Amino acid sequence: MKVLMNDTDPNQTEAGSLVNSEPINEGFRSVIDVEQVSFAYDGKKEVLRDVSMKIREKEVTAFIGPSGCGKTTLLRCFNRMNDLIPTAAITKGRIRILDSDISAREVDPIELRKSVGMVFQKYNPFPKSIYENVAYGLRIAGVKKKSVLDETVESSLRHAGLWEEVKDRLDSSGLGLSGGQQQRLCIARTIAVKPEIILMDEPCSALDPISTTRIEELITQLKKDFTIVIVTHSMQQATRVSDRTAFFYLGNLIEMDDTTKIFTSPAERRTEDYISGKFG
Amino acid sequence: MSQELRHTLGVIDEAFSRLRAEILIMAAQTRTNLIHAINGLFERDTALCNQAIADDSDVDLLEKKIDREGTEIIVRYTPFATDLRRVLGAMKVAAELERISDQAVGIARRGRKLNDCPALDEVVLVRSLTDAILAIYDEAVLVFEEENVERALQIKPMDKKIDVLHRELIEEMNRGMEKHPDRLKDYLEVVFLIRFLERAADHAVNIGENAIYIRSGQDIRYTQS
Repeated sequence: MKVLMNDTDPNQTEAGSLVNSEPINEGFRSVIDVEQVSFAYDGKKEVLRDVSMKIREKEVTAFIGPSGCGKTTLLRCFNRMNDLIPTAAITKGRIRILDSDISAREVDPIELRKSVGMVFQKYNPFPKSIYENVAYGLRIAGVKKKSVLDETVESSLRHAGLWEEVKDRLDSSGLGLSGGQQQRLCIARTIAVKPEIILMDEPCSALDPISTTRIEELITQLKKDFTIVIVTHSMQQATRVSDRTAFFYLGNLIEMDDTTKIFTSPAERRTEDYISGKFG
Repeated sequence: MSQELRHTLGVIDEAFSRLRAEILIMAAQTRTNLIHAINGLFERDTALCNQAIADDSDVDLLEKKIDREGTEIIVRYTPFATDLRRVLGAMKVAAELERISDQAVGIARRGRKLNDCPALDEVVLVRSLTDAILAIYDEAVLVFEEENVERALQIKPMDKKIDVLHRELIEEMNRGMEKHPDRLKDYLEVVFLIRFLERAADHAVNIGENAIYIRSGQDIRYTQS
C-alpha cells in the first residue's frame, strides 16, 4: 500500500492518497487499529499492557493519564518513533494503520512517517528559513518543481493559520518566530507532506494561553482533513478539542469513549478519580 | 454511598462540603415554610401563614447563594464527572426547592383567605394530601442527601398516588360546590391550594431524578411512566 511504499510521484502536488480501509461498523472508519499491544523496554519493563483501541478517521482522539502511564509510548508506536530506542519494542500484538501492519519488516518507517506526521511538545523548527522549513519534507521526497513547492508552502502555512503572519518574510529564519508561531510552523511542516494522521505530543505545553488557543482552534480546523491523536496533560484541552478520549493508567487502557461521556459520566472509577483530581 | 477518595486539592472538598451544607439548610427552611403553610391552614392560624410567606425570601436568598457557590466551583476547579454532576445537580435542586417554597407561599395565601371565612368541613380531607406531600418531600431530600438511586426510583410511584389523591380531592370539592353554591369562592380557594400541593410533589420528583443523575449520570427525566 502507498502508505508504506515509496512509489509516489514526488512531483505530484497531491501526495499519494492512501489505500482505503473498509469502513467498519458503527458508522465510522477506523484508521488506526491497536490490537492487544504490549510494549516493553529491555524486554522486561512493560509500559503498555494488552492495549486495544480503534482511532476513528477525521476525529481528534485525546490520550490522557498520569505521567508514565504509556500514552506517549503508544503515540510514538504509531509512527515507529520508538525504533530509535534499540531496547524498546512491541512485545505482543500489532498496530494496523490504514489496514497495514506497521511493524511488518517490509514497512519503511520513513514512508510511514509521511502518512503519520508528528508534532512535538517543544516546537523544533529547523535552523532554516520559514519557507525551507515547510518545503523540507517535500524536498526530501524529491520534489524539485518550484511551483509545486511554492503552492504547497503557501497552502500548508494557510492551513496552519500562519500565512498572513509570515507571507512577507518567508526567507526569514523560522527560529525568529514567537513560540506559538514556531509550533504552527512545525504543524505546517507536518501537513506539507499531506499525512493522513497527525500525532501531537503535548503540543501546547510550552505555549502561553493565547498561543494555546490558536493551536486548539487549528486542531479543530485540521480535523476536517486529518485524523489527529493528541497526548495532553490538560483535561480542559482534551474536552475542548477532542471527539474521543482514552484514559491510560499504569500501562493499561482503562477506558475510551466519547469525550463528553468520559468527562461527565466515565464508566470506570479510576477514570473518575483521575479526571476529578482525587488521590488514594 | 461508597467511600470516595479526597481531592488532591483539599479546597475542592471544602467547597463541595459547603455547597452540600447550603442545600440541606435550604431544604430545611423550605420544609419549615411548607409546615407553616399547612399548619396555618388546618389550625386556621393566619400568623403561621404570614410566616410562611415572609420566610420564602430566605429560601430565595439561599438559592442565589447556592448558584453563586456552584458557579464559583465551576470557574475555579473545572469539575468533571461526579463533581460536575454534583454542582449541576445542586443548582437544579436549589431551583426545585425554591419552587416548593413558592408553592408553600401559594398555600399560605389561600389558607389566609380561608381563615377569614367560616370553616369548610372538607378542608380536613386535605390532610391526607399534605401528609403525602411531606412524606415525598422528606424522601426526596433524603435520596438527594444520600445519592440513593434505589430509593430515588420509588419517588415517582409515590407521586402517582399523590396524583390520584389530588384528583379525588378535586372531585370532593366539586361536590361541595354543587351542594353549597354560596361557598363557591371558598371551595375554589381549596382547589387552588390542592393544586399547589400537587405541584410541590412534582418538584420533589425532580429532586429525586437529580439524585439519580448525580449518582449514576443517568438522566431519567420524562422516561418513567
